[in-house]
Amino acid sequence: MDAQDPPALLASLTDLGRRSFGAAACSLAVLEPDEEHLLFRAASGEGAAEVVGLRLPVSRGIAGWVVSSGQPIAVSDVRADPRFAVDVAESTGYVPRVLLAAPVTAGGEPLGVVEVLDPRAEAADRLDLLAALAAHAGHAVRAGGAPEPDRPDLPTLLREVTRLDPAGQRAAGDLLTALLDHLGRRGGPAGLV
Amino acid sequence: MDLPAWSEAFTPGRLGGVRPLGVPITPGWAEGAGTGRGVRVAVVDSGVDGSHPSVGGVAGGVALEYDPDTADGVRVEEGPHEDLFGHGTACAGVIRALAPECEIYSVRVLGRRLTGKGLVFAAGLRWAIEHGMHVVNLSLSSSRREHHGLFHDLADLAYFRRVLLVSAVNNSPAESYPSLYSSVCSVAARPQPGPGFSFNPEPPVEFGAAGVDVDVAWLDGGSITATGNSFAAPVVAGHAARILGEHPGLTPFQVKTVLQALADNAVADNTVADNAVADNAVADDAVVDDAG
Repeated sequence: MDAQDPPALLASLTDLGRRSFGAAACSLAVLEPDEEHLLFRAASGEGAAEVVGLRLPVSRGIAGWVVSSGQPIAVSDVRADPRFAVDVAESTGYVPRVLLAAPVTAGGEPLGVVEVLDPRAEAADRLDLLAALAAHAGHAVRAGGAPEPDRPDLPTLLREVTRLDPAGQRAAGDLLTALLDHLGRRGGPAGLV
Repeated sequence: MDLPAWSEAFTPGRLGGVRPLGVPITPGWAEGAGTGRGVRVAVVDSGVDGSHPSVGGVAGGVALEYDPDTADGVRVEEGPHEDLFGHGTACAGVIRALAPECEIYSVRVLGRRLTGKGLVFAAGLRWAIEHGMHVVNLSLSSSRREHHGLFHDLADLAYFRRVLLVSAVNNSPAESYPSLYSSVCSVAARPQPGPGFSFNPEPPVEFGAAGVDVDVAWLDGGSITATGNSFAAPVVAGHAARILGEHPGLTPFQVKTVLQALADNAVADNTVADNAVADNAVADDAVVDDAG
């Protein structure tokens, strides 16, 4: 799945998010399988073209804090602190005045972050609406936007198996068969999230 | 006579005196000069920048990270560390403003990856409980059901050791731990600004404090104007430090009682309280009637 061509479900979600907040932009970043990076999979509005495909470490920035802590945040004057503004610009494509960000989760597991930039004034404190959008994003990411699963590295596994004695090879073969059968039925590792 | 283990504590000569709370609980009695002197406050978060002017130094700290090569999956490194995001510094600044002489300890549990996040968070909380902290500020939580027991045990351990846990409630409708346990001070942002806080008689979220468009410290000596429950929790943690500075050794539930008496919506006379009691009596009657 090409990160530059996000699924229609996620694209429509950020479009809906932007419109419901009357915002300049809305974006969705999804946690990568390494659990060390966020990948912006969909965006709508200002800076959208620059943001989609952007990959950021979870160990810094406002999006990183939100996905790490599981807490939403709203920053009402991003431009007041130039250093913070640079930090935000990294994950938004431009420097907004107001930034809302909420964690996207499913079953308590962090999946990503949804951000809304420069909402209309009366929606700037609607963290409840943001939570609803994030909940929707959680379902969307699991249903249609999860990254392609990493396939087991069979050559590596087989190399290790050939080092075992015959009984060990048979046991390992049975285990691998059962494991691959299980992963196949569950739709790959992503289905285990 | 051989007594069951739990009964021994109550034999004559064993049981020491206990100090009752002062009555009535006034702000002057409860917080005194309000310095928080001698109180150790842990900020379990992203690290704390002790050089930030709003923080004015940290007394110590520890950084915890997921490490599958260790016995319990968590690597613990005591000593100075930076704030990765700015949020821990924000919380420390709020606490410092209320309790200028308390000792702030940074317990960094957020790091470069999310793998093992709940385990690291729990290990950080345990470190704070076992290293003599009096108040622990938690502006994060876990929503994983399998962590319920782990955090519940830690909340109990904290209570038994007279460590007050102050936790920001999660905005999502899902349960989050440990913010919803009875011994924890669970805090949400309230729209009213100011250094005080409100008490909600209907748990689990018993406290509300400023957390909407508040100016808080951030990275590199800067500050931002932000909204979130996570900025309200340190207000209550700061008041708890002020109370414990005046009254060392209070149990978490005694601190809650004092906090209730200091809340902005606490009333000076018994008028409202009497009405509330009367309302409850009516409600109880209604329940009885329904049941009948």
